Amino acid sequence: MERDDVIAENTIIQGHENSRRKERRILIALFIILIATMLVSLTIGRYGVPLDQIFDIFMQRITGREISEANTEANLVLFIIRIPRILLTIMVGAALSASGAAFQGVFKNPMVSPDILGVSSAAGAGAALAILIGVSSIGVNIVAFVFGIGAVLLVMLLAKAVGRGSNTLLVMVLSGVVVSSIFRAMTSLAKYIADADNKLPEITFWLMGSFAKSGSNRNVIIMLIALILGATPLLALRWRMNVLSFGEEEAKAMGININRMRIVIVACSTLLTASSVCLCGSIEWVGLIMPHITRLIVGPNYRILLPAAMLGGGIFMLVVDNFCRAIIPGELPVGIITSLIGAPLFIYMLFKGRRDWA
Amino acid sequence: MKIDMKDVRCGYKDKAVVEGFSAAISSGRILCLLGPNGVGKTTLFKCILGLIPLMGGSITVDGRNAQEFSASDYAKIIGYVPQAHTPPFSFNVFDVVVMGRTTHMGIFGKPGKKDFQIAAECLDRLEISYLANRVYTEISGGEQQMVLLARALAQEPAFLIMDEPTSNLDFGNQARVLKNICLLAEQGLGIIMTTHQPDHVFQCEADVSLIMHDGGHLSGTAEQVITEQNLRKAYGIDVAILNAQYQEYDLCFCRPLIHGSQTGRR
Repeated sequence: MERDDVIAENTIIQGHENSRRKERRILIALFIILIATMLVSLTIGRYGVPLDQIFDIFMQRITGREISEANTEANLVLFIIRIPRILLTIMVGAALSASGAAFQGVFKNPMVSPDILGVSSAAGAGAALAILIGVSSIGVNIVAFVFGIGAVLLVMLLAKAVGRGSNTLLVMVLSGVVVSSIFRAMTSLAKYIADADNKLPEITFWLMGSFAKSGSNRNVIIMLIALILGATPLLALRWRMNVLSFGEEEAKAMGININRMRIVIVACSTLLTASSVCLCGSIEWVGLIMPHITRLIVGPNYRILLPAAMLGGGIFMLVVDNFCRAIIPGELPVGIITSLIGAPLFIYMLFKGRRDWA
Repeated sequence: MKIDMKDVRCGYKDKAVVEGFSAAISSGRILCLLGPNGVGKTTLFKCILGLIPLMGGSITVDGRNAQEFSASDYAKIIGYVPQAHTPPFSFNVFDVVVMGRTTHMGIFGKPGKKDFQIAAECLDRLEISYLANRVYTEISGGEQQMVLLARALAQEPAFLIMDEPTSNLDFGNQARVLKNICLLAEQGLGIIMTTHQPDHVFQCEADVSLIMHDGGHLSGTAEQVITEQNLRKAYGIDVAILNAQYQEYDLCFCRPLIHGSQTGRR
């Protein structure tokens, strides 16, 4: 009997180790896909740079040789325009995806995301107002973050007051709709008063969500800092997010300091979304659908879900941005495409995932 | 170990639901919280778990005030087995059980080899190893209840608090869960459980606190508290308490007397 027990335990642990090995392989695969997509992205655009030339330029850079004359122009296109844009795109995709996954865990609600909770529109409104007043770009970031946090708090408060603890799933989504609409009105107001000759086009184009103007080395560094500040705590706490998704009482009884945990996760997720919105406008749906698609592939355990969703978000964003750059000469705002892809995909997942959400 | 509750007063906002409740439980014992709907059984155990604040009186663990413990330390003393419910994400059963280990990990910790080992042992201890690779949201209510019990055991607490562990279970699963509860008590755990069945008190040879609508309560052994008069006072119905010999068992059970059928059977 006792031997049987040991065998049963070993089988469980063996099975678990196998699935973890599989998880690691998925992460490696995603990483390889990301690198491959980056390489392809370097070649795409109005100024065609074939892969062998890219390789040539990289070799010249790495070995410290002089950039050959034939490569000067391509070198500029790559390092001033394309590489910063690609890096920024990947980081924004990863940030939005991580933010969505974390919000879903902390509110134990698979239907929320930075857009649905109103964080995106609030950060957008904050940034629009800041641009209008004319503060520095760091100031725009800070105002956007503060507005974003304000939106989450408002949604939490509303959901708590209206839902009284029951059926918060829908109430929270509806509260998000209300809060979003308030901040959208503020954005419209900012547009209405904005100077029609210079500020209005700036705000409008940026609100559509685009990487066209944001791919500079400076922005890459800003986003990198935000990503490190926001995503590191989330990744470090990702096991506890699992426990949190079982609800407040159970998580507390399992030894988690709920309030501290919530504050950290909400602040980090908001930071990630707000900085993305500041740099490239509100790109909707990514934060909702990427965690879902990833969950369908790797399951709901945040240990694998969060890193996989970040890699997946980066790949998705990059592919969509490439498409926007390639499809028409003037290039399409990326937010339009994510919405066109995201909405139907979400409806599909509503059908497919209904069982899990009941 | 021993948990002492003295003059406990608790409730929501400013309104006390439970007042002047006193009872104690030691390792290896079972304490059933019995009483009609709405007398505050749930409120009381939430207070013992530290989920809602204690408004008056004291709860001590081996003489130390429960409020002094951090959430993490307290979780190492008391584990919570909630009623089975559906979480928003379809976790794997083994992952759910491993979550019970959280309190033994660092803040940024992830489960390690030892945690997996203990989780596997807990599944085995309850004889549900076969569930390990199933999806938690797809198993039956009875199985979910057992998995939640395994999760609480993985926490390695000295006490368990169970919220109506047999509700929503079929006849067979009720007996199975109850049997496991008794086994765990024999192995040294102290168990506090709420229940709607006075019979559970007899079956588990438990101590009992019977809470009344007027806020009063009676604590003691099954024989002292579960009497026909007390049950009538608590629930407002007539109850027969019967003793019987069946094979080698001495059975004690209670049966509500439903008007009509009672006269028919005489």
